[in-house]
Amino acid sequence: MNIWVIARSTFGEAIRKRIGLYVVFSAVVFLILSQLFAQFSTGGVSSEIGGGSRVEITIIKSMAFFIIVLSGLVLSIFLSFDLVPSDVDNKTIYTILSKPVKRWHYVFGKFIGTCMALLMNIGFMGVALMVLVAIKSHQLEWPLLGGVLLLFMQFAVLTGLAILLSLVVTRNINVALCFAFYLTGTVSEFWQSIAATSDNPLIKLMVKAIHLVIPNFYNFSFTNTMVHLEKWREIPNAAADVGWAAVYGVLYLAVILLLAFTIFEKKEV
Amino acid sequence: MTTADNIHGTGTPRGIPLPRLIAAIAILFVGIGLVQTRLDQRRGLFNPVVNDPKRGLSASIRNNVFGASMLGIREVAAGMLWVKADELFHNGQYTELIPYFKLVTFLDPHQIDVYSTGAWHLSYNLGDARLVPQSTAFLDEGIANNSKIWDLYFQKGWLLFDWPAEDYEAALPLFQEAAKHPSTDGSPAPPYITHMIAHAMVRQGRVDDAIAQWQTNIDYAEAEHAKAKKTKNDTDIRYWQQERDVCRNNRELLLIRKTAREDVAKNPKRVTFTADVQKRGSRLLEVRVRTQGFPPLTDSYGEESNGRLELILQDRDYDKLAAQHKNDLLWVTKNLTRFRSIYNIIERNGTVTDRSKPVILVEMNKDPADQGRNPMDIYPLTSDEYELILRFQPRVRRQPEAVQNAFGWIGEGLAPGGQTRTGPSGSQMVEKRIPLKLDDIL
Repeated sequence: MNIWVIARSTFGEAIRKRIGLYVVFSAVVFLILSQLFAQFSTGGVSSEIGGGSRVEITIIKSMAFFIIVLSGLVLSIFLSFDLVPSDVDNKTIYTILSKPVKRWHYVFGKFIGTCMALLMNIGFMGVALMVLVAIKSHQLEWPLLGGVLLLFMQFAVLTGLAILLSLVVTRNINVALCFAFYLTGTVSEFWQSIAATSDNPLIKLMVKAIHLVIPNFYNFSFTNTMVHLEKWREIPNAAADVGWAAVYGVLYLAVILLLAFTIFEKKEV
Repeated sequence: MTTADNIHGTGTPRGIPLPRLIAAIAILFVGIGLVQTRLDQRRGLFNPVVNDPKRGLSASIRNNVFGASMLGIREVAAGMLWVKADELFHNGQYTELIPYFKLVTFLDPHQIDVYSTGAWHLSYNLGDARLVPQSTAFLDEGIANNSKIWDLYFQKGWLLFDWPAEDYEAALPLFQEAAKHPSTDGSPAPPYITHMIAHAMVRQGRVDDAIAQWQTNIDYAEAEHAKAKKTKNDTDIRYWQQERDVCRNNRELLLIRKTAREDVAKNPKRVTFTADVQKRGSRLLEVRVRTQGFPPLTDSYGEESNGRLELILQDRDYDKLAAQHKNDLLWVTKNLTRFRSIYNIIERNGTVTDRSKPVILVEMNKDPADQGRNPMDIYPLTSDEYELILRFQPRVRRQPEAVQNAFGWIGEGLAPGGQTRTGPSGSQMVEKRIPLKLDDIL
């Protein structure tokens, strides 16, 4: 119950911050503009071979996923990096913790509230994407929604990470570290490729460790198969992979939140 | 409850004891490791790429390295480059397009339109006869990355069927393969693919097989038509009715032509060429060709018709060298020369004309596509020996129907011996090869 109260309050706070509103508004404008962008490619041989609209849809989808990734990245970091520090600065944390609220309830509530705001924003963009694609292709492509939800899972992990880091480092360092983790986690395959070319077993081991320890944000990106749905249909049991990516996200969140609960329990406030 | 308890929240134990925390995190990481391993094993399925360094730029760089460094936005980059490529296309800057196509497919190997368009430019718009193998290699790369849909099998089949290659034997299995695969939206492949199967069979002289293929097409169209009638889908009813009628007409046309051409091989005609090659300037030759024994042609409507003569000027060992270096575009473009002119007309008086003049111009002193390229880049003339080939092939699609009426489906109406030689599928053609030295051209 305490968790839900804190989550609702955090959700309301996130909405009042307006950053979400600005980001979502900009994202939706860009989503609509991507339609214009796609129109530039309707000429040429592609339309002559009957693929003009297919190229348009491909461009709209890829632009839309890019916009959602960019917006989600900004939102997840900027909605969560300051949650606990601002409560400490405003001293509202004392009011909360003086109530019969467990510390982990507070952290978990903050996390859930931020995720709710994130889900609302990303969900809104996802629906806008589906509508735009449906206008062009005259059909609802439901797998797109799965792709958007996985992106949400990616940003939920990033949100958890930002909350965890906010308990141990300053705001600026937190933001910088979040971006660094995101970059490192997204190019996880890059590290593996480097390791594959090396003969040094130590480097291979280190890279494997990085691959397993740093949150692998690339796991949540199925953009290419979402942009080209025929590839999605070709892959046997593709939905299971989405499920496993979600399981990965839940397990990683469990680690992050467990650490956050423990650190916050021991933190002097 | 003490003040200290309040500040620390109620219900303290102050965190999980360290050993338990470590154990819990270790267990979670074991789970993460297992899930990650499972995801790694399957990840390739979601982004399969050809990993053959011989296949050119887009496959020689590790796709996942570059892809990952694009932070999952490579499809956007591909889209932007595609828009830029489209702009170059509209400006007629075909040569500059090719690197864009390579980059787009490198970033997003599932952009099938880019493979089709790139191959189209390589085979048609650049006017460079040496690039056809590069074009099919580009499509091979596309097929490897998009093997479960019909599009690129068909595109490659068409390119091999049409005038850049005229290799019907290679085109047929591609059309047959294309017909087995669905469209990008999961719907069945369009029926015109099965039309091409029949057309490719005809060009190999397999007329009975082609008639049977048209019958198969008719049966399929009738079944679809019946289905559409059941569901009362007016658009589909009209579509499949039209498809059935087209297939019926094609089948009947083949039956009529089969009867009409039955005796062609019984009265073979000997056709020969004489040619006079003159240098009119550096890289500019005039070729005057006369045919002997070429009958006056008339089409089914009684209109005068005529045949088409192909002229090729290439390195003496062109075919062998091109096969040896088929994966090395740079070597091919730097070392090989191939000029090809295919629409020269064999007039009724036996003269061969090019653009209404009784002389074929071999213009290796200008860019064939008017792109402002240096002719030396397209015709490097690095060999000492060349050959000029004059060829009349009755079976090719660019010959009017009257040619096949006179010489048969695959040239079986040409008398053997002399300049007649046998080509693929037992087809007959008239061919004259004239050796040239570099000095004869430069």
